Amino acid sequence: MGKKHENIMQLLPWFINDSLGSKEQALVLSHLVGCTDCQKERDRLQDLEALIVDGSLALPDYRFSFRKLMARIEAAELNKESTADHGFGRKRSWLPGIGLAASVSIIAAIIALVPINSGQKEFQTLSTVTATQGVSHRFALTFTQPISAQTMRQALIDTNSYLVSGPDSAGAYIVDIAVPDQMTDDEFIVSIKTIDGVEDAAFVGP
Amino acid sequence: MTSIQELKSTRGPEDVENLKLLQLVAVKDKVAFEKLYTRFYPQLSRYLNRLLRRPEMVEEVVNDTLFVVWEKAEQFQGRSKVSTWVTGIAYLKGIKALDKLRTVPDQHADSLDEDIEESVNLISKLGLQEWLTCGLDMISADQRSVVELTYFFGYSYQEIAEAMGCPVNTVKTRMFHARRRLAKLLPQLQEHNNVASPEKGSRKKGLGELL
Repeated sequence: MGKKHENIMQLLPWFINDSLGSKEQALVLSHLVGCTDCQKERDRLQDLEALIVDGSLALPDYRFSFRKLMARIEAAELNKESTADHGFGRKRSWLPGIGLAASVSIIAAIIALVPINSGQKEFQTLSTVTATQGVSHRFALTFTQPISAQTMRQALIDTNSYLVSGPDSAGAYIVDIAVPDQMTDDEFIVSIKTIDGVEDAAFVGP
Repeated sequence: MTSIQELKSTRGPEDVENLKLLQLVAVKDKVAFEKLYTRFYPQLSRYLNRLLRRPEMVEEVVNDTLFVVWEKAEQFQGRSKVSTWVTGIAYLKGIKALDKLRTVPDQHADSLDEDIEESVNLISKLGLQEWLTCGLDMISADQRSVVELTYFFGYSYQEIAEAMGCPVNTVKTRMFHARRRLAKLLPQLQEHNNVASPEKGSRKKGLGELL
């Protein structure tokens, strides 16, 4: 009886909100007939339910919140497109082209090794610049929203970024960037933030 | 995803309508998404208002929740009602938001310290709704979630367990602790109010027997 009484007591909130299955409902009903403690508890809980249901909440117009969410969704979609444009999107739609890209890279490497312009200005790729100008540090970059794929691509080029991962849940991209020897990280971050499309940059680690 | 026809036989019309909308959202139909948003906005706002106790955070967490609904709609398996699924997301987002705050320790502990005496001073001059709000403030977020989902949303304990991702016995235990804790508050409040304001106290006397 003690155990059954406890079980019934536990079920009372859901007896009151009428969500028990028919078997449990019948069990509670039959117990209630002979148990004054449970009857009192049922009455108290019914009053509590009334109190909770009565509690009104002034809600702002949903349309304003909805517009905010849609702006966020559109920004996220744009980000996905941007990452896809860069070749690191989830869909990996660029995979068929990778063979072609590899071939082009090999040819480019051969050309770079042959001293075509010896004695003249050397041809340098972006990657050779970052490798020779400073020590590579890891940063989290966020971009102004919404941002076009072209602007984002240009921002990555302008910052000499090597993309590691992203975007994370906050929309940040983890990138490796070579910090010029003559600059501190803080100075470098300030300079990065001036680049069109970059909203914020934070030092993550060496 | 479960078909509408399958669900019509077992679900209420509201859930069938929700599922129709969710299936459209899964193919990125923004008109359907606005309709779904309109349907869930009031109840999510209310639930999260209770769970978080910080009105200024509610809109953001509602939008976090519905952002996930937009992104993951095609992953809905139809094993629960759409509303239970959405509430489950809201619960997780709400708990995550509370964790980020780190200002309210042990938010999801099932047993909080017995510091009711201190709390009574804070709630002594409040109206009944304010009392309820304060009473709910003094139970854990998990307990509040169970109380709100039971009494306001009319969820079964099985649905609450699904939404909160815990066993049904945990739901019952959380409700038990919430009831016990709330029951301790009111007699002291009633006594305090009878001394402080006889008129107010008498108004609350009958209600003082609530718990």
